This record gives sequence, C-alpha cells and structure tokens, in this order.
Amino acid sequence: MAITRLNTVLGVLGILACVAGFQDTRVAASDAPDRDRDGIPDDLEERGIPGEVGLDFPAYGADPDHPDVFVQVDWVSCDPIIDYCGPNNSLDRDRMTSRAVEEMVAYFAPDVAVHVDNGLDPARPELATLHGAWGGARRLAPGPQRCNPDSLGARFGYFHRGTVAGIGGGGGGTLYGYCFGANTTRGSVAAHELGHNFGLNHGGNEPSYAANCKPHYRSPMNYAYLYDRSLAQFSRGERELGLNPTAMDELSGVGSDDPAVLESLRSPPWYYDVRDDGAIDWNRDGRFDDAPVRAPVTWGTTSCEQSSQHTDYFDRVQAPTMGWVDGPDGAALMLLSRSFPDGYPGYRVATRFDDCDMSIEYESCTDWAPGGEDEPLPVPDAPAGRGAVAMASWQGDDAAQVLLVYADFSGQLYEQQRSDSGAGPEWSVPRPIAGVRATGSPTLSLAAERSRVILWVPEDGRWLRLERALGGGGWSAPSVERWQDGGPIEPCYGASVSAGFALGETQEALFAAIPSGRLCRLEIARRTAAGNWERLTEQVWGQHEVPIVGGRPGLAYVPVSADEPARGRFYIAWKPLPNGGARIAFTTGNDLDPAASKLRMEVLFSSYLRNVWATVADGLELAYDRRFDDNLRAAYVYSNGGLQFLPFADGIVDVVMYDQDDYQYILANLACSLTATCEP
Amino acid sequence: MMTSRYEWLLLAASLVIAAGACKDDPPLAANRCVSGWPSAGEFRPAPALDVAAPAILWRTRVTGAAVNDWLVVTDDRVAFTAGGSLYQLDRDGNYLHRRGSVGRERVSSVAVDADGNFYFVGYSVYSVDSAGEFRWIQPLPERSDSPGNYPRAQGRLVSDGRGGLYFGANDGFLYAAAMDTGEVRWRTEVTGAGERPPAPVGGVSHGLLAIAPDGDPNPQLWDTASGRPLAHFLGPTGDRYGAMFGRELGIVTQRMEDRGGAYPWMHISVLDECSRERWQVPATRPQWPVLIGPGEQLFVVERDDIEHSDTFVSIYQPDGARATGPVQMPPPWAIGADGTIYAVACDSSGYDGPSRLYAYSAALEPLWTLPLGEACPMAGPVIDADGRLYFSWYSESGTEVVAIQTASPGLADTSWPLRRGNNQGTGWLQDASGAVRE
Repeated sequence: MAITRLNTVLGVLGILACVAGFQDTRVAASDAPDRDRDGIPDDLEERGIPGEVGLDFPAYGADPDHPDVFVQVDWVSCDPIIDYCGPNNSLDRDRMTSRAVEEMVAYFAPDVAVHVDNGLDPARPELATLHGAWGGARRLAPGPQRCNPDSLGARFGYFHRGTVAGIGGGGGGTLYGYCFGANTTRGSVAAHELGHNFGLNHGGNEPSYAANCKPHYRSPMNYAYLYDRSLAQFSRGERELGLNPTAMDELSGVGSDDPAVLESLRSPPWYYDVRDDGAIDWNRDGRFDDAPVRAPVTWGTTSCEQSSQHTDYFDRVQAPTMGWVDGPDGAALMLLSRSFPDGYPGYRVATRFDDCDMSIEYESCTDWAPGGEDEPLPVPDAPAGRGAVAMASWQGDDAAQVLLVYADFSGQLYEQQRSDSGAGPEWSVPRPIAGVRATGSPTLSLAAERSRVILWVPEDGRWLRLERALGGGGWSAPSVERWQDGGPIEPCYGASVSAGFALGETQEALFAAIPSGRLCRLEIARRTAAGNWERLTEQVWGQHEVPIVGGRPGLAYVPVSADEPARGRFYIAWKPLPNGGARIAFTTGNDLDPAASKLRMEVLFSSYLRNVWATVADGLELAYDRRFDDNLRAAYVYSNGGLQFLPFADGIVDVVMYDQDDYQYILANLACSLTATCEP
Repeated sequence: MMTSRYEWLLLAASLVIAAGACKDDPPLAANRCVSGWPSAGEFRPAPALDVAAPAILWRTRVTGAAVNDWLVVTDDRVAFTAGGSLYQLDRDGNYLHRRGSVGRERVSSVAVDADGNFYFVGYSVYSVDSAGEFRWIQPLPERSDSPGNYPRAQGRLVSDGRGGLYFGANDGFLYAAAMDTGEVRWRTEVTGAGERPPAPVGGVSHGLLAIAPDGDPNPQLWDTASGRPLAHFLGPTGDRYGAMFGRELGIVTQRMEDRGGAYPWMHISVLDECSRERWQVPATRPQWPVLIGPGEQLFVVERDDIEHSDTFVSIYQPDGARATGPVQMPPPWAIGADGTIYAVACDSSGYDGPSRLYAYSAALEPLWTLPLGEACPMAGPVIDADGRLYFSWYSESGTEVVAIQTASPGLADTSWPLRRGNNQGTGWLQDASGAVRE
C-alpha cells in the first residue's frame, strides 16, 4: 500500500506512520443496510451507538440518505520547553483550526458531507455538524505518531483519522486507507490528504493517466492547484479534451475559455502565454502554432514530478554519463557508470524507450541491455577510479567509434576507444594521457567541424583543454581556459559542455555549465571564436538566484522542433550544495539578445527533476542528440549508490492525459477506505 | 529511573570529558560554574518617543511559512527566515533582499552581528551580508552514520557575539561553528538521529544553553570552547530546562508537570552560575516565566487550567520574593527602553485571532490597547530604536510581518526583555553595558 507524501512534515517530524490493510472484527456488520453506501449502516446514522462516546452520528449530522465522512483529527502537542506556543502558551496551539476545517469540508460538498471531530467547539451554532469536540480527537505527545485501528478505538471502521502538527509542512495520506497527516491551518492540504484515502493520486487515477500537474485537472490533488484559492472543489471532469505532450494543440488550449481557468494558467506555477480565446503557447516558443507541437504540459514551478515518468533504477552504480552511439545495428543510448563503491567503469545500452504500456506512469519502458537486474558490462581492463567517465562518439570510416576518458583514484587520466564495424565491438587497451591530472570529472566534446575531439579537465582550480584528431594521434598540450576578461576559469567538480545554437546563428557553438569560484556558482558560458568563454550567467539566470552546486551539472541544447534545429532552448540540471533534491531548469529560448521578448535565453523557472526527496549524491547527466532522439534523457545517483534514469526528463511522453471526475472515486471508496480494504 | 540516575550522578567520580564528546561518553559528574557572569546594572528608562498614538504601520506578506519563532532587527531593517529563505525588509516593509538556502531546505532562525551580517543554517551554515549576497556557505560535515548524506539544522541558532554560532541538527548533534567561515568547531552527540534535535536557547559568557528533551543523559549547559558539558539541571523530580538568564537572577529553569490540561504547569527554579538552586516557585496552577524586567525581576504568567481562562502576572524579586501580583493582564511580550511593558492577547489557542496589543506602565497600569487583527502573533516581537515593534503571524494561509509604531526607543536594557533575549536573535546575555564578557 503506497503512502503518498506531499511535503516534508512526515519525513521531518515523523508524524505519521500509517498502517494500512488492517482488518478488525470491530468493523460494523458489512451486510447492514447502507442506503448511501458511505460505510456507515443506516441504523447507526439514525441512532448512533448508544453508550459509545464519540459515535453519536445523528448529533454529528449523519444522514442515511446522503454520503457522510467522519474524520477524527488529532494534533501534536506544542512543547513549551522548546517551542513558542503562542501568547496563550497553549499545548493545543496546533489543533486544526475551524477555518481549516471549513475549507476542507467545502471541497467535498455537496456530494459528500464531511464531519470533523477536531476537539474544538464550533464558533457558530450553524457549524455544529461540521466540526466539534466530540470526545475522540486528542492531543498527542511530540514524536513519531502511528495510525492503526487502535488509534481510533471504537471509531475504527467509521472514522478516518488525521494528525496535524502545525504549519510549515504539508502532510501525507494512505491510498485507500483511513489515515492521513495534514496541516493545522490549510484546509486544502487536509482535503488533498483525505483525497488519497479515497484512492486519488496527484494526477487523478489511472484511466486519466495520473501524472501530477496536468493543467486541465483542476483538483486539490494536483500540486499545481493545491494552493490555488480560486479552487474550492475537487475536479468534476468537465474538460473532455485529451492532452498528449507529443502533439499539443495550441489553439485549443485546455478546451476552455473560462477566464478563471485561463488566468490560472498564466499564473504560477505555469506562467503560460494564454490568449483570451483560450489558445495556449504550450511549448513556450513565443507563437501559437497551427500544427501540433511537442510540449511538457505538466511542467510547473512546483514539485510536479514532470520528469519522473517511466524511470529506471539501477543498484550499486555511480557517476553516470550518457551519449548516443550510431552502431551498425542502429543507434543506441550508452549509459556509462562506475561500480559502487569500487569505481570500475561499466556500461549498458538502450534502443527503445516505449517498450511497455505507456499509459502506466511508473512502468519501465526502456529496453536496457544488460537489464536492470544485471551488472553493467565492464569496460575491459579499465582501472578503478572516481568521477564521471567522459564520452564522445562518432561514425568513423568503417566503424562506429566511442572514446572514453576517465580518471583513476590518483587523477591519472586514461583514454580508451571502442570500435564497432558490425562484427562486435572491440576495445583498445587503456592508455594514460600525459601532462594532466584530473581533480574533477573530465568532459569530452566534438569540435564543430567534427574532425577533432576536445577534452576538458578540471585540474587544481584550473580548467584545461586538450584536443586530438578523431582518427587518433596524441593529445595537444593542455591549455588553460579563460573567461573573456582573461581571468582563469576555476571549475568545481567538473563542467558540462554541449553544442548548441544561439538564435540567428547558423553555426553551432560550444556552451558550458561550469560550477566555479569560491561558492561554486553555476556559470553558463559560450565559447567564443577567440577561444575564451563569454559569461552568460547573469542573462541566463535573470531574476533567479544563481544556483550553488555540489556536483557536476548537466547541460543540453534541445531544439523546439526537429524542423528548426537552430531554434531551441537549453536545459540545465544540478545538485544543490551539499544536499537537496536534484533541480532542472530550462531557458525560454536561445536568443542572446537581452531585450528579446520571445525565446530569450533566460531561465523561465526551475523545478525538481524528480521531487524534493530525490536528493542526489553526485553529478547529474543530461543527454540529447537530435540525430537519434526526440527526448531529453537524464540520470543521477543517490548516496546509496543507486542510479536513477529518467527517459523523459523533458516531460514529453506519448500518452493522452485527461481530466477526471474525482467524486466518482471518492464515492466509490467511501466504505472500503474506512477499513483499508479497497480493491483498486 | 530518575532517582537512580540522580544518585548515580552524585556518586560518580570526577570525569574527564573530551572535546567533541559522544553520547556514549560518561555523563557529567558534577556541575561546573560559568565564570565571567555579566554584571548587573541599574535600569534607567529612556525618554519615550513623541508618538501621537500607537498604530499599525504596515503589513507585508511573504511567501513561505515563518516556521521559526522570532525576527531580528537592525538599524535599518527587519529580517527573518521563512520557507527556506532569509528575508530582509526595510523599516517600511519593502523587500530589500531574499536569499534562499541552496537546496531550498528549511533553515534555522537568523542571528545578526554588529556589522549587519546575517547567519542561518540548514544543510550548510550560511552568512549573508546586508546587500543580500552570500558571504560564505559552509556545508555541514557528512553524517557519520550515513556517508553521503548530510545533517540538516533547523530551529534555533544562537550566537555568542565572540565568533561562535550554535545550533542542533537532525543527526542529534549539537554544533558550534565559526562566525567568520562557518566551519564546524565542534559537535557533540546529544540525542539520536530522528529524535528531537538539541535546541539552543541562548548563552552567557562561555556557557551555551541547549536543551534536548529526548537526551539521556541530558546536560544543558555546554562549554562554548570545547563542547564539553558544564551542567545538568537535574532536580529531585527530574530534568529542569533552562529558559533564560539574568545578570543577577542567574539561570531561570522550568520543568513541566503534565496535568492533562491545555496549559503548562511549570515548576520554576532559579539557579546560580554554578547551577545550584537559589529559589523556586512551585506550580499551583499553570504558570511559566516570560521576561526579566527592571530590577532583575522575573515576570511569570499564571492562569487556571481552563481554556480561555484569564491570565495573570506575578513579578518576583531577584531573591525570590513575590513583589507584585498576581495581576490580571495579558501575557507580557516585551519591555521597551522607556519601561513600557507590552503584552499580547489572543482569543484562540492557535493561529487564529483576533488579537490585541496592550501597553502597561512599569507599575502594570494599563496605558493603551491596539486591536491587531484576525490572527495571532506567532513570531517576535522586536523593537527598533524608533519605536517600531515588529512581529509576524500566519494569516489567510500566508505569513505576514507587521510593524506597530510605539513610543519605546528600543528594547529595555534588562537581562531578558523579550522572549528571545534581544533584538539580534543571539540569545546571549550581555553586560548591562552591552559588552559580552570573556
């Protein structure tokens, strides 16, 4: 039974550890008449249970002909030894407020009447059946909280049980269960978490494709609308339009010209350009296209998990890098890594990313070889080391070539080449690269004319450049890379280099994401014809704080459409220093003119690559190659040596997403959720 | 269990406790004295400002919940942390700067030094200057129990004014860091990971007061130089927890007795600089210490254990004799430099209001009342030299900072004129002259 978490309250404070699936003999007779199918037998709704404190259903407003939900909301005591418990120094500071209860209840009305025992007498008589101190809700001692049938006592089988613990966090709710944790003051959060009890996910339910932040799914279950005060109800499934991120109709928008709906799409977390007639610039390229466009419609500034669909997880590997290889059997994505904790280079390859039922959001769809359960293939004879393995690939005269450069534990760099002419890959022996010693991860890139390969190496606070011909031969002597003003570039960890276009230019240039300086600020730069680097940092980050990073960043240039390769945007991914959820941002476009009104090379917003809990331990990798691929791919590792591959890091998945009527699921799961016996 | 531990402590031989002591180290054998205790001075009220009437000057909404319970104020701005960011507002409530933590992690409270530099801590120790730029960022060391993962601090950060920052983290350690670099000077395991982390309250001279209800054993005074325990406020019936310091009073402690009601029954004990009990105020109904006012008098709030009961204030002299009270009035909140006592009343037990600000004379005569609005103050107050009293509350699902014009030219120069000790958020007791003694 999944436990869905909204924010950090449960993780940080250990508020709730729900136990679902428990069955108990105290459950009221399931065969008893229950006309409204809310799980409370009619006679109990009419008469209550005499002698049982806290089960006086008629007094709480129960109606046997209208679905009712009863909720007991306990609260964690304020500890006046440590905390400020308000002017009254009340241990009950964090009891759920009347206002929050009213907000929560309104989300379910009128389809379902929610009645809350929050241990607080109502301020007005007309609220007497909405909430009150009904003898069950109680103050809890600080510390980890549990939720099981004993938490509800005689109320088990009739009540849901919430736990609140003050402001500053979110909550959590058991899917198809009776337990949730919420917020003392936010009714929308409580409604969201109680919604999980009825089987609702952040994107609704499976038939609608349950991705978080679907723009046309206007529900408190959706992170994008959770704090939208114009929204006071669950979704009723009014928007029939299906949205497919690979073919978005910009003129149809979300199929609505309701000004409130359109305004919300212009506002955070979306910031879409929306016309009054309902047209939406889904791909944010500054124009409303007649033809379908590719666009990550679930991408907003909040923790939308837009990149976390169809992911893969590999155990005991670290330091990922990726690149496309054009082999005799077709192109394949090569995922390089090191074994954890030993540090030996290895790899696996994939050719398909849709090898599954795409409509199931969390199903793996990538045809990895070796598969996820197996060890990656070793790079023959490669010594162990640390840092990412740099990779470049090209098509040679008669074979596909892959060049790897990696460091051993002393920082000694090695190069090793793989050649595949169709008779099976052949690896050269590792060959030391003289004259340079890496203190961070190296990077490889191809020169624009594709006759040379360039090696970028952090070494003792400098960034060195070496190059050699694709056909072989020795590396050039290292040269020190500099900013346009002549100052040396001082990279931390390692940089990411990507070929890309500036709008209006016909020749690709090299762009780089370089964590540098005392604070390891994430600088963005372009290599000039003069051989130095032009800082684009202030322009790219604009009004945003320049990220301070704790590992090698990822950078990739992606055209807005395959037809116009020089019209695109940059994706930047990074690990915050020293810890935190992996972040990703994209520029609106690639126009370097700061006065540009459209397609400006400026980050529109950043968001979590996966979610706030996906704390990364090392560098991040982004991969895109327009010759072979339509999607941006990403990979990162956790501190336990697990590697996460995100095949749709750009959030563009070939599925159709729908709005849904939440109330049908709420009503269907009213009874079974009381005992966590639903069958999804 | 308490008794046996107490006896064991009394019988234990003298121990040598290494710097950076670990939880497995033997508990403190005997309490040690804090030397260099600040000297008391006579409180001389400053002239009140010429203010026509108290008034709400402005309310500024910020994104993110202000989960830490106080603000700091300097000559030209008010600052606080909320939603993982440090905010600086000018005295008119306009945004000056917002600087987020690197990982958008929740962070501690903020302290400010004499140069106007701010300090807070999350996964890293951060210092931000008055221009809103990072001066430095120093990540906390990796967790020893979980390589590759980092501890995160939140809650209170205090500063000794001599270059030390102190905070607790979710790995159960109490940390000391250097104010000039953020580098960790020492760390000491106090509780287990996952338990409530140690929470610094403040300090005096070289003694850091940090409490950890889940700690066992549970020393509370720590040597700022070494991280060694100095004192354990163990009473005959259990742990007492430090709340504030007085120059003449000593260490004000409290121990909560659980009577099941809505309000804490705090048994108050005042200890000397060697943690020996000087006098006590046993709880006969809910009570708790709030401030130390002129003449080193301890303000204690009392009320019956009935929700929404009236509140009363008793004032105790430095020798423990009750000087005044119980007088019916709202809980005192701060004491102004002119001697005005500010009290705040809230009609709910939680975040909802309405609430009111009251002013009283030193003789507890009511001066004026100001309705505040539909929420209940939850952070602050601080008072600047121009009489602006700042606090924050949680209203309509957002945090607001509120400024009130008063006639008090700053805070009273008493030992503990507001809940967090001073306007700078350091929590450190100074001489009446303002100096921190070595």
